[in-house]
Amino acid sequence: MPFFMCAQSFEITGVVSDSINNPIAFATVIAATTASEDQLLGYTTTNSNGNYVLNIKTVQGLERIYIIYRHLNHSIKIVPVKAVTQNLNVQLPYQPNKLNDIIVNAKKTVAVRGDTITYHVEGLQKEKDYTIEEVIARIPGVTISDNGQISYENKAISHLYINGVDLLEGKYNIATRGIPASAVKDIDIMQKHNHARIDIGKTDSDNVAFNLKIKENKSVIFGSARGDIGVPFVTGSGEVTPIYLREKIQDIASLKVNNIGKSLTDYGTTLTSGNTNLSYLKIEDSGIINKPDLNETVISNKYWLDNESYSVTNDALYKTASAALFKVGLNHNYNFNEIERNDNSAFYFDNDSIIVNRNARNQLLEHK
Amino acid sequence: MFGLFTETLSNSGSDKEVYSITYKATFFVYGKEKQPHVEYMRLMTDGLLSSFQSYPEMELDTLRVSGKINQEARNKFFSFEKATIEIKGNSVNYFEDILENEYWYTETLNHQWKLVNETLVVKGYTCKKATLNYSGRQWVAWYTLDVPLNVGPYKFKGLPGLIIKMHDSENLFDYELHTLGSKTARPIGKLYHLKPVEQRIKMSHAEFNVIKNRFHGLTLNEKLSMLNTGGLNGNKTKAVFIAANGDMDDTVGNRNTTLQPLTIEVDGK
Repeated sequence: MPFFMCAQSFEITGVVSDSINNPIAFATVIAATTASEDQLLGYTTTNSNGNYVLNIKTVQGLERIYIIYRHLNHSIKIVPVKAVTQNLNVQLPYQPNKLNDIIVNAKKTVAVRGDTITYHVEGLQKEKDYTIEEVIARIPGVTISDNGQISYENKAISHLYINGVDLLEGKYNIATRGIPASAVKDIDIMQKHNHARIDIGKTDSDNVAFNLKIKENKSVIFGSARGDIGVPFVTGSGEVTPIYLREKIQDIASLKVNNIGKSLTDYGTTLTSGNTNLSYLKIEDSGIINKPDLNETVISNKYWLDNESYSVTNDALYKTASAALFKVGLNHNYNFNEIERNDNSAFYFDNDSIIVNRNARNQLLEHK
Repeated sequence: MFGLFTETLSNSGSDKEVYSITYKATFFVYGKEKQPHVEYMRLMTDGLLSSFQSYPEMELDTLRVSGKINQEARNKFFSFEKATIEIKGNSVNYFEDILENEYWYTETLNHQWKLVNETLVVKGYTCKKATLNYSGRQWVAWYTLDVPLNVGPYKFKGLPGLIIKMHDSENLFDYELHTLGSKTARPIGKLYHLKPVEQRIKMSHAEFNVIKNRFHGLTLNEKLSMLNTGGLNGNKTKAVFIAANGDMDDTVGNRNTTLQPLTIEVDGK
C-alpha cells in the first residue's frame, strides 16, 4: 500500500469590485485562521478584471476561516466564511489617500514636538538590551558614565522623570538600571527644561530633562532580579528592584548585594547636574584610612578587592487630587572593604643580604 | 498565480497613480569587505508593472540615452548596481550597463515563498516573516499586510503585502524600506530609459553573470582602454567580451575575482 497523503485544499473564487461595480484590480485576498490574521492559509491578488482564485489548505478541525480583502484605495473588508469551496463576490467602498494613513500610523522612531524629542523604545531597542539604561545609551548625543549619570550633548541632565514626576530626584540610576527596557514606551528628551513650573515663560533654561513613559499595561508591578555566583572563589552578587508605578502612587525599591569588588556607593547617589564630579568627591570621602599603596595593581578592583557591599533603597511618591506630591525616600549603603598586602623584598650585597617583609592590612567600612 | 496579468500596458502616456518605494540597500560587492556599500534604490509600481533602479543609475540612464554622458557624470553618479529591473507578472527583464553596453536577459520568476508564523515590527510596520530559496541563496523577508502591494526589492515579489525588509542568510545583501509614497506620474515604462532594442546585447542570465565576473577581473587600465576602443555606440561586434562571430571572447578578462553575485545558481548556460 503506497504511503501517500494528499494535502486537502479547497478554492474560493469571486470578483472584487467597488460600490458601483467597477472591478478592483490588484487587490490582495488573504485567507487566515482568525480575523487578526494570526496564521495565513493562502493568498492571491485580483487580476485586472477583479477576479481572484484563492487556494486554501484545509486545516483539520477548522470550520470557519476569514477572508480579508485589501486595496490601497479602498477600505478593508473581513468576511468570515465556512471552510468549503465557494464563490464569494465582495464590494470595497472607495477610500482615497489610504496610504497616507498607513504611513502616519507606522510609528517613527523619533518624533519632534517643540523642544521635546521623543524616542520610541521599540524602534531604538536592540535584542540584547535588558534595562532602559542600555536603550537610553543608544540615543544619539547621550553618554552614560560608569556610575549611571546620563549626559546629553556633554551636559548632565537636570531631571529624570517617570511618567512626568520626579520620584527619585537625583538618584535616577535606581530606575534606569532597574526598569526593564520592555516596560518603557517612550523616552522624551525635554530641552530648555525648567523644573520650577512657576518660572515657565520667564527664564530661559538650557537644562535638559528626560522623561520615561511607562507602558500602561506594565505599570502595576515589575522589577528585575539578577544573580551571579562565581567559583573558584566564593563570590556572588544579586539584585532585586521591585517597582510599582501607578497614576497616583509610585514606589521603587532596590536591594543589591555583592562581594565581587564592585562598590555600590554610587548606587542611589545624586547624579544630577550639580554633582558632576561625584567620583572625585568620593575618593576624598574615604581618605580617612588610606588604602595601601598598591600602585603596581593595574587590575580592576573587581578582582582583588575583598568586599561586602549592600545597598537598600526605597522611594515612594503619592499624588493627591490637589496636585500636591508627597515623597518619601530611604537609602542605606553598607560597604566593607578589606585589603591585605604582603611584600617580600630581598636585597643582596657582596657579603650580605637583607630581607624585608612588609605586611599591611586595611579595613574600610562605609555606612551611609 | 500572477500569470493572470496578461493584458498589455496601455501606453497612452496619460498620468496615473504609481507607488514609489525607496529601499536602502546595504551590500557587499567583493566578498566580505570591511564596510558594506550603501545605495538607495527606487521601486515604482502601478500594480501591473514595476521597475527597480538605484538612484545614481536613474540619473545616469537619462544622460546615457541623451548622449550627454561623460566621465564626470560617471563619477558623480557612481553606482555598483547599474541595473534596471522591469517586472510584469512573473516575467523579468533585466538590463545592466557594463561600460557603455546594455546587457539584457529575461527570466521567469517562480518564487516558492514559505510563510513563517513570526511577527516583527520593522520601521513601525507590523511584519510577518517569509523565507525563500532563490538562485543559491537563502532569503528572509519581512512583509506587512497593511500595505497591500505584492512587490519588493530586486526581483522579489509575490507576498500578500509589501516587503519592508529582506536579507540573505549570510547578510551580504540587505534591503530595508526607506520611504513609501504614491504620486501621479508618467506610466512606469516611461520612468527609465533603455537603449533601442537593436542596440542591446541579449543573452542568458548565466552568460551575463560570466561577463560581469570577467569585467570585475579587469584592471582599471583595461577597463579604460575598452571604454575608448570597443563597445561604444551600441556596436555589438565591438562589444566587450563578444568576439566578432558573436561568441564569447575567452581571451578577455578571464581571471578569478572575488565578485559576490546576488544570483549564484542560474539557468540558461
